[in-house]
Amino acid sequence: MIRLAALLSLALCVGEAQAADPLEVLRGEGYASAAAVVKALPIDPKDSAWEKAAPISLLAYPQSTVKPGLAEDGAAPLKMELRVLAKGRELAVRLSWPDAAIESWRTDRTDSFADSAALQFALPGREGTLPYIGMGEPDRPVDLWLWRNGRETEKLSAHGFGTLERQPGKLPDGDALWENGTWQIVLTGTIPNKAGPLLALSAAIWNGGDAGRDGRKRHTAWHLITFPGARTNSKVLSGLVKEGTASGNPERGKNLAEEHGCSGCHRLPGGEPVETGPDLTLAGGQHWPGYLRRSVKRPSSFLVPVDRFAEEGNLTSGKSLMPSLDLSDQDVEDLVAYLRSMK
Amino acid sequence: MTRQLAMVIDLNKCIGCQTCTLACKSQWTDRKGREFMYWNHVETRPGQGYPKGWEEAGGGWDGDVLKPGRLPRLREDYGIPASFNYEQALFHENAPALKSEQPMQWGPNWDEDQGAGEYPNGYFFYLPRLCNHCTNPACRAACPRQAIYKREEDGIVLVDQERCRGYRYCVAACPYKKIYFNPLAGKAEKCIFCYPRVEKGVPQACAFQCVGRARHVAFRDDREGAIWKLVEEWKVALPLKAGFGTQPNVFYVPPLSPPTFDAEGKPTQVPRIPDAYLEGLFGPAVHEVLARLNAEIARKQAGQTSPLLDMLIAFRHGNMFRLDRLGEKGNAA
Ligand code: HEC
Repeated sequence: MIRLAALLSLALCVGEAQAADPLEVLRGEGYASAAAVVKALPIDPKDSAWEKAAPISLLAYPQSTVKPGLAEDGAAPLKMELRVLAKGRELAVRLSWPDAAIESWRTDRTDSFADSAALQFALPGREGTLPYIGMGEPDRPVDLWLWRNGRETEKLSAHGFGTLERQPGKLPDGDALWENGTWQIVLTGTIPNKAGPLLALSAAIWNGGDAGRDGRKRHTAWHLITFPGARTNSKVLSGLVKEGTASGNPERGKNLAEEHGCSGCHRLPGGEPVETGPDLTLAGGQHWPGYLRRSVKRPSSFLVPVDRFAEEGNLTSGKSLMPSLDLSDQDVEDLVAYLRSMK
Repeated sequence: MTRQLAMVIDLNKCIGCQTCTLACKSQWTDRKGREFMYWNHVETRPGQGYPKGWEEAGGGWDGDVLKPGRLPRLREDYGIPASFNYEQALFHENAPALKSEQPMQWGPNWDEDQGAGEYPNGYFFYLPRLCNHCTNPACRAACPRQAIYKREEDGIVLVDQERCRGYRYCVAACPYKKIYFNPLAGKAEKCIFCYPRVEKGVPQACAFQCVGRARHVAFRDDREGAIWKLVEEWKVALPLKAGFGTQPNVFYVPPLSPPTFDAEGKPTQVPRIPDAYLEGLFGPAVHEVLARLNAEIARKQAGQTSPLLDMLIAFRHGNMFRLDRLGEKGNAA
């Protein structure tokens, strides 16, 4: 009901987004939070300033699209907490997650991996579209801050798998504390890009004890961070709201999935472990609803960059193995609602 | 089409002096996280090799699928170079004995000359190993960042240090364990087949410095080169562990060995190194190769000519290398 009301109010005041806060809907869905503005950004995970930031609870899901991932080990999602503080164009983020043991970067070992975490940032496109969660897309780049326990932090950017590149400029500052089976790390730096008043953020964590690196990680879906008092283009806002909500009927979506044989290519909850397309059993937790909608509506608009997912087993074909289905708008919404329930 | 530079190592001429090892180490790997790394080394066979147990560490191909592999451990499998009490031991009267300052449990060449077999039939031989610059490199296939590539002009396999992010899938995938992780740099590193020398027409340090004249270098398609003659024409050089499926471009002339003694101490017809052992390393073709080598030796002994043996003897050092990229000129050495 609340969701509907908000949508309605949005529809009524297109072009004057300040009238009511359309993002309230996304906050309600757990897809958006406001950063707390402070005078000085803390670096110490124990700093009392963190109490000013509302805790954001997210689940980090095992990466299950490319191999080696963590999903094939049967890894479970992990609960994370994020807190975000802002000061002008600078941001401090504290991430906490459970980890039974500390693994650090070792210069006297060749077979060990360090506990690590990364923050991924993206700006919504003009229509409020967010990039693919795995390192972005060719025309939807992402910025990243990487922390590896015992190593210098890194500032990176990417626009697809395998495109990760170091960026020049000041590295993010980092501090980390491991206590009672929990990591608390702080990363702080200048907001990447020409970040507007709104930023999409996701987190990834690697467990050194599980040989964590590359795709052997857990990651959250996109979460929107808003900055109090900042104005956002109303078109972007309404786009984001459209992208972030799914008003369909998941039950009907499930039936549609059966009808259209999605499980012939995808692993679905309780289904066979087919691997023609990505595993969808956690798709609702891993992906932003807008991305799920795009994937269902126009499979070839973005290709998950893995050769075997493309026609002729080769990404250069530019065509997804997934057929473009003749679906009504309602069908799409129902399928998205079904996909979103998988988490 | 990729041209492929290749090497043949004659195991009958390797005396295990490690001159190749040091030529390589002093040129490429003597510091900065590479202390434990030997892009080229010589191991005693039978033995555990370097890194320890590499043959059982997995990797390579099963058809067109990569086999899982294990990451060697620095201390246990490669061995951490020890420091010695030189200061105390070498410059004073009544000085203590020279000894390592850390307990040593393993290192490259740890089981040197140990070999196998019972007196008087003990046996061993030396096996120099380096990156095989494979035609179908498992390391390259394992890298999700396409940081490993094979050069068109000579087939040399290299790690792009800018692209590498230290994931180490390549280390696990190489069945020869000839790609290493540098824990200081956080990147994978390996034998570069001395490409900066090769580009100037100078042979690889390991090959050029070999005192036994055991290493030949040429392009595989160069019909005047030693590789074509020894591998394709006379068929006396074989890849190591071809079953790994990576199609190596380093080949070996397998070792002949003296006969065993029987209970009366009389030599038998059976060679010391068991055929089955050599087959395990070089495949079933090893039997024909050894027979061919023996036949050529018999020809020479009977006063006949043997171009094959002449090539293996390598009367002129310079004739062992044909690096000219166009395959026209001889060599620069
Ligand atoms: C013929 C095989 C095939 C069928 C049938 C198929 N898909 Fe796909 N699907 C793929 C492939 C391959 C990809 C990955 C390539 C891409 O991005 O389009 C994919 C991607 C997706 C994605 C994005 C997943 C991700 O991890 O990025 C979603 C969501 C999806 N499909 C949903 C569906 C639904 C819902 C159906 C049924 C209505 C369906 N698919 C039917 C092959 C298929």
